[in-house]
Amino acid sequence: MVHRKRVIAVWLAVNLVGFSAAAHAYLDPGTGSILVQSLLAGIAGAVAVLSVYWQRVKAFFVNLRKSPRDTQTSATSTDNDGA
Amino acid sequence: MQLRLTTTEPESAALRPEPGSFRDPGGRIYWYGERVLRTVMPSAAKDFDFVEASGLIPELVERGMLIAQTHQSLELLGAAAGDAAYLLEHPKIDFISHPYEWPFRALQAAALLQLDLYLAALERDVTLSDATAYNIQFEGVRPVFIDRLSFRRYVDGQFWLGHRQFCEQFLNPLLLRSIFGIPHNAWYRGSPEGIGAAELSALLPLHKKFSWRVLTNVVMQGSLQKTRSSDAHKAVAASKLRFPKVAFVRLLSGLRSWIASLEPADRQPTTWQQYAGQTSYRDTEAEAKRNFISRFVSDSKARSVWDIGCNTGDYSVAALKGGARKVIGFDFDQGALDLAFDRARSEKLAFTPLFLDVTNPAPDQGWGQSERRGLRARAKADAVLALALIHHVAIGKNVPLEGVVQWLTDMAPRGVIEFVPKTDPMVVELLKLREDIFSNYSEEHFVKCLQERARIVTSETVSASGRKLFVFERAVT
Repeated sequence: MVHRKRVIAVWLAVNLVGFSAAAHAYLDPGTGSILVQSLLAGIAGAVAVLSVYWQRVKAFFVNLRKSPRDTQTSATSTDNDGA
Repeated sequence: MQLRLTTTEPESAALRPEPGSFRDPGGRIYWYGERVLRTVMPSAAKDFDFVEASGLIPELVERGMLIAQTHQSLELLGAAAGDAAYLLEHPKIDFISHPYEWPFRALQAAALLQLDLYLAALERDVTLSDATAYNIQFEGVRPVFIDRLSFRRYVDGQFWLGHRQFCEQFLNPLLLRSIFGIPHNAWYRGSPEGIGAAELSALLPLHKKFSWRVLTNVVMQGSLQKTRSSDAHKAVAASKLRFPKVAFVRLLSGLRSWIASLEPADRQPTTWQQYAGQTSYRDTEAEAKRNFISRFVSDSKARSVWDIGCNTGDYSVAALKGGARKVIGFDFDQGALDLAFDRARSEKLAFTPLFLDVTNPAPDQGWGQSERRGLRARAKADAVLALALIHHVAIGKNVPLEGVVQWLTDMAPRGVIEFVPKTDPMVVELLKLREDIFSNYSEEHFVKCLQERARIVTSETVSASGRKLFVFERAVT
């Protein structure tokens, strides 16, 4: 599970800012604009990676809280089933 | 007041390339008589096919955002077609205006259209090869995109190649007015490619630079634009990266909401916004004047009217009521133009208010001095209105009366000129602090000047102060 999340994070990072895309145009985009956009791309990549880790942290606490209740719920449902 | 209008245009089938269309080798515009044709060259044909198949074009045309197109046979061009792959025909635009003639609101509306087009295009994996303001024209106050060839296939991860151009031609000129209260027109006209990020950034006070949007789009773009070779290497390396679509869309929609929220910093009423409420005309007199204009337009059957010194558009509206199809208004007061634009938008008028200093109209400029045509070369109106104007030019700017009359009668074969006598309170105001060196400024001399250029069809006194409207007509040249 942890391994899969790490793979997703790496995949996201690579897919978001990783490799070049062909771009042909008659216009000079300008160094300033390209550098600013690569910064924005980097931020988008970082946000995507962080959000994956954030999901993990969130999931950890949710699981922590849920675990005892899960047991209860299944117990109740068993009761209900029995009723 | 019976005037006849000849609307037949000379049927010249001569094929000539449009001098303003040369930058993109993917195609160019030709004039074929009065028809507008566009070639698509083989280098752009694959992208063209992709965009045609995407369904984007009819959607944008339907939404009124893009000029219509029809496919034509290349045979129409004869030998001039060369190895062109396709030929398109577009409807002719009666009057091409330049961004340095647009008031703030018009540039803002054009910027929003550019961004809306982009957002709609990206949904269909289509991008734009540029972001020039000259690709947008106005129907009334509604912006319309006119360059079909700007649309290209979007390759996932591509950068926004027109970002710098968008900032220079839309964002920075708008910020100039919204941050400093300085209209973009004079600077833009002197620098038709727009206002550079480094230049605008140099003017910004420190506290303005901390906003994230200003920091990235203006300050950083400006400082990173410096052409040191080390920076160029960095940019080349950066351009090998991917610009994720999600970041692209976020950049576009962020700019959209920012630009939509911009307001001119100088919102206090300007001289001419207040003018409409001043008492140089009583209500009944203004009503009589409006009726006169409506009657003139309906009698002369003028379809296109230029209203020079339109202020907030009262008489442009009167011309539309008289049957004019389109009115282009010109004024040099930004506050009045803002109000005129808002009025045309809310009342859905076929009225386009533009910036003009009568004593310094837009010249022929750009490459070969033929890329962006000056005002005179674009003057094709059926009728011209010059109401409460000539005293500002003849007395306010010292232009000899015969010069003012010549300029106005050259604009259109017929029109209405208002003569404002020296006894009028507005002229008294103009002369309050200066010597009266205008011994020639009289109705008698005005009539003489006008008669040398045209026939006076009728005239009517329209105010207690002695203001008089003259209808003139001259031979169509």
